[in-house]
Amino acid sequence: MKSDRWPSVPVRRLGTVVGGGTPTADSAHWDGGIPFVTPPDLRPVVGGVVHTTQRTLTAEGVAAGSSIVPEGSVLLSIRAPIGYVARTSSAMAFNQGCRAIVPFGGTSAHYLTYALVAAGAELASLGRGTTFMELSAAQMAALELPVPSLEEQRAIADYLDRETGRIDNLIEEQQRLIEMLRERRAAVVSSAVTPTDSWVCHRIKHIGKTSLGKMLDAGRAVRDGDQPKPYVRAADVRADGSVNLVDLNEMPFSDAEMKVFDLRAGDVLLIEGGATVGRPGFMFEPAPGIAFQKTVNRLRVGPETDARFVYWSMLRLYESAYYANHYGSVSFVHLTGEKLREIELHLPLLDEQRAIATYLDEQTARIDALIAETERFVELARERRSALIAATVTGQIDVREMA
Amino acid sequence: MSNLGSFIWKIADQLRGPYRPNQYGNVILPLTILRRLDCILEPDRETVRKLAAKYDNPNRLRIEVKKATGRPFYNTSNYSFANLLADADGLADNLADYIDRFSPDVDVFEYFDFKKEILALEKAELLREVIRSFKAVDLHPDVVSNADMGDAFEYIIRKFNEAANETSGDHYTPRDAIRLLVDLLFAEKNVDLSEADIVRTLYDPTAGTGGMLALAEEHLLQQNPDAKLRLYGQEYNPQSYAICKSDLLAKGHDATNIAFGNTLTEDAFKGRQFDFCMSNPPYGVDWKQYAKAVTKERDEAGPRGRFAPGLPSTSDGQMLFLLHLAHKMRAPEDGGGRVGIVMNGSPLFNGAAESGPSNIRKWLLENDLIDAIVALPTNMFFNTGIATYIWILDNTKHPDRKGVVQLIDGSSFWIKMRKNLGAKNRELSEKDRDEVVKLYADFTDADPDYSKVLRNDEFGYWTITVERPLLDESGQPVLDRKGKPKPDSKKRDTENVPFTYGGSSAGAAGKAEVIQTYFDAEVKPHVPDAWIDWAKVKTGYEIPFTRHFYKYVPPRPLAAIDADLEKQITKILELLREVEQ
Repeated sequence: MKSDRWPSVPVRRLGTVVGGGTPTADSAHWDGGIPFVTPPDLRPVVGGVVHTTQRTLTAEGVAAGSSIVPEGSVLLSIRAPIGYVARTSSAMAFNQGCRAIVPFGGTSAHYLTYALVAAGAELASLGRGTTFMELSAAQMAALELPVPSLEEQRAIADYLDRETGRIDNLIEEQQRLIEMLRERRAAVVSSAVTPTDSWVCHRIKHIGKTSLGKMLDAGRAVRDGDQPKPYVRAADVRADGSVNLVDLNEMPFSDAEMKVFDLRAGDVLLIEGGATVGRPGFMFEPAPGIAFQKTVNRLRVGPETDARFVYWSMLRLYESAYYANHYGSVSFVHLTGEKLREIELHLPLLDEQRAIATYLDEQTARIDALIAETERFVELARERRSALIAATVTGQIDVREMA
Repeated sequence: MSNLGSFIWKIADQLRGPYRPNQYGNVILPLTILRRLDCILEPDRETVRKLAAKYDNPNRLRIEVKKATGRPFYNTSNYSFANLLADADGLADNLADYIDRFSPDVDVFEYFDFKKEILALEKAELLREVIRSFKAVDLHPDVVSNADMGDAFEYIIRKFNEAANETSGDHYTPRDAIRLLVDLLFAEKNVDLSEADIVRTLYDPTAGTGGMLALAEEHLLQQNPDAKLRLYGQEYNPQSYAICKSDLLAKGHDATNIAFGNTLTEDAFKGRQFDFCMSNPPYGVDWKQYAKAVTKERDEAGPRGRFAPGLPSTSDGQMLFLLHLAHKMRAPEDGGGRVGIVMNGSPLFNGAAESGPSNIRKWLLENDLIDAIVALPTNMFFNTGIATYIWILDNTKHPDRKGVVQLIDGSSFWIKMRKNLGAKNRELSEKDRDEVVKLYADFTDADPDYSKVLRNDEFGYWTITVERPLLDESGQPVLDRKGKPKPDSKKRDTENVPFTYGGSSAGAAGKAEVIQTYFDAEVKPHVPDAWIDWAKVKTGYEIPFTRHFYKYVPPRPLAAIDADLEKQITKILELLREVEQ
């Protein structure tokens, strides 16, 4: 990284580069008073200060196979991934996934941290490795960073603390906004499909048919006439209720199976198990030539019921944590066809079902658009944050004028 | 805590290299016990040798030794720690002779497979040093009390288990879970325990290294130092058996009631019943190898046999231990007994109506044997993160608790561990344990978010078969010879009808009426041509634990959310202005 205003200096001229290590599992080495930094400890404090670590070492442990650096050193992760950087709040040991720079007198650790953040992309590009990327000590030591006077380094670091703090605060509030919008979406759905006294309770087996998809039988011999066909699995039933139909996995299906496991417009798909058990997806269009796999239940309602209304009712059930709390399980909850068929839905008359479904489609579309815009805003704020750091450490912003 | 345990465990440092840390116990555990027995037997060695020369018959010898020394066990070898090191070349042989000449009840060295270890130590040229180290530790009861020896041995077992668990995922019950189980087990009968001079029996059919027995005893003695206890256990892993028995020997206990073998096929205490039974049986481990023996026993033992109520599927044996323990409680006429057993979720709900598991639940509930079921936090065990439950059985329930089961959701009472042990990253603190025990004690007054008291019949249901007519080509019902419509097997459906449907509290007796009411309201309106096949009605029991604690939380009102959104937007605009300034 170069600056027009200041000389570029290799890292080795700015401080002593120290490699880390991990002592053996001997209990005498661990759980002492010395913080032991690994890359996951740096992740939440990138650009800032690392105060606490998941594990700690004894002095014996440090001596047996690690390294220790004083307060005000800069730690950089050199693999998995490259580029997490933070400075230490006290003397700390660290593992082989990090390397430390103990700054010489003329370098501010605070400034150096920001300069390394700004050099993030360059550092990553220097990584070498076949299985995972790792930054070598030599490359790290040779990395050139722009270095102004110590006084100006301090001014830059203070300025960036203040400005990135503002942006971080803004991002946090935007994320809070997204959470609130999601809460509002769930509340809109829930109140629209909350039954009134005139609604009638039906079990799913009385309003439609359910089927579980085809078992994945990759190891089994293909029967004559089977053709590889794309199929929908749980991962294709997306969080927004749409169903992914492109770049699908394939397995052999017979013609008869393609008829049994078909997907038509109005089918409601329900995830069969796992963390998102019961989450619904909706088929807006038919999907000829595409089948579905047994991680997904298909619910096809009869003509007396509006499928889209059923989708919203199933979403409400999912969002009220119904499945995880309703079915017993040893480890994972499964929504078997048997359980699905017995679920009770409260239904108004068909016209009202349609009206509610349309209302919900419109309302949620507006909220979803707002969420998407807010997410875009967060992206822009993050981009602005990176750009600000880079511009400042390369001297494009004169912080003396900003003070 | 005495330093003796860690001092002895340090001897293991000599093994580093040829031995891995998880193998240290194979050497340290038997040698600790050998040295303890060696010190105990030292004063009477000459007396015993003389008696051994006089009496060939082992039974006679045992009686004579007991008369002379007051101890039930002895050793007749000419070797002991005092002279083993004197013959450098014969050390391995002489040591083998020494452990061979213990009285038959000291069988632990055989189960430790210690002779193999002697050879391994010799081959690694470690034997001499290790024996010298142990010789230097004086474990005579005058120097090290039974209590201190017990603590030291427990420390060594724990170190061993920790080392073994990190690599092998052995089934070993963490102490915090045992403590809660023990607290709940004694919650109702603590009063009786304070009567001195009454001998109480504790039993664990899956004793492992004896952790449950040891902690239960500790608890009882804390409550009542005068309580007289007898510990019974059975274990089928040779090494665990040897550790369990050694632990009792180390504490100066009578270890004759610790038996080796498989409880499911050879109950070592047939016909015996106990005051308190505890177990943490293996979960989800199949019992195919014993299926023949278990089925045979069930067929031959008749309706009072331990497996008579039903058999679980051969893929999971935990309910066999549940049944076994239900038959091991002291009879009500003799004062009654109580059981605490830890199992995973499957015994609560697995198996359809009239399957083995359902029939076992039916038998337990209809005989009013289930007192309480407590859900433990997840991630409590070393080898698995799944949900687990403590079942408390009681055949002489407190009058207030008769006819009901208390369900306690203890899954939120835990603290994060400082350091994970395998899958275990949560533990029950003393406060957590107290809170769960208080929920139990408060019974119907306990916080309903965490505790529910339900009648036994609220777990019952009928599975009914609903038939629909088979239609011919012209859409007319096909009739059988009696003129009744034939069912269409393709349209056959089943429905589960809770005993409590429509508010019924008649239990199983409400069968005809409740099923008909249900059918008329829930089935007939949707499928008017359906009928019930009454010959196919089945009775089932399940305990849908999580469902009882599920509460629908409605979203906040839209107006409240909208007010927050407005505020949020204003705030964001202000913040944006600051950034862009």
